[in-house]
Amino acid sequence: MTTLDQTQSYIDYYVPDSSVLSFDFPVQGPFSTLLVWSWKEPALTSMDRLAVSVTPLSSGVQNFIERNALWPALYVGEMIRDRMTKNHTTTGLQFAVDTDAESPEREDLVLVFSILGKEYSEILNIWNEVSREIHSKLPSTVSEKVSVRLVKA
Amino acid sequence: MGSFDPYSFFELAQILVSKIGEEERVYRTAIGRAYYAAHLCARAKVPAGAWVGMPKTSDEHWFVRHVMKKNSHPEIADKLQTLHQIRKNADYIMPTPITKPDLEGALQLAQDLLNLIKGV
Repeated sequence: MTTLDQTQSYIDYYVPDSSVLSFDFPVQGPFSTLLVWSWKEPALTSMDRLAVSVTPLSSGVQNFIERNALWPALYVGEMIRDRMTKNHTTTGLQFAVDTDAESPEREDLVLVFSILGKEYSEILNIWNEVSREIHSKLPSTVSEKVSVRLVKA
Repeated sequence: MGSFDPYSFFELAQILVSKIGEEERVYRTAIGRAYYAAHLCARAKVPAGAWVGMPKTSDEHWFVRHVMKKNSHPEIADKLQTLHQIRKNADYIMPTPITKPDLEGALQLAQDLLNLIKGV
């Protein structure tokens, strides 16, 4: 885990196999945590082996992700957030863990996208596209433990 | 007498609000009926044979979402999950008020879900 200077505009990250990648997305808003994992997933390309989150994660969420090997969801979520931010669709992404009072053993990682300046009916349509895209990119074992939520900013 | 149509739970949710009025107990009850309308309509789309594969540790709500994801309808699963969470808040979390905007959002979400489920 690395703490970043909030004025830093780009992220450089040292990849364990000795290359350095520069991620071309601006660091915005209040955050303090950068989490990086290397992971292998045959369904994704070799360039996608790095999971980066510039979204603040609570320790509970971090533990949940690690315990269930949900790094691909982190990566895919950040990728979609980045694109939606460029399109001015979202103001941000949060990761949360939903617990179920009726089934305490049942927990899900929830990717919550905040949508800016849209009517709820429009948000519901965007939600369809985002859900389909994210789940299509995730291995089924990860997808089972992940849900996507869009809320009005 | 035919099988009960769970869509009528959604109609009941709307009737509760329009006839009884704008009270938090009505909002909480209406959210519950709206969720069960969507959940039961989605459950009716689960092929009978699929229930054999339901893990013993899982509940019906999760399993319906799981089947929707498996059958290329993750948007239905995600929206059901959100409405389920709203319903649980309405049923269990008393210190947090449920407001009219909460209800309106839940009803819109439920209506959208019912439309999506109809297309499955």
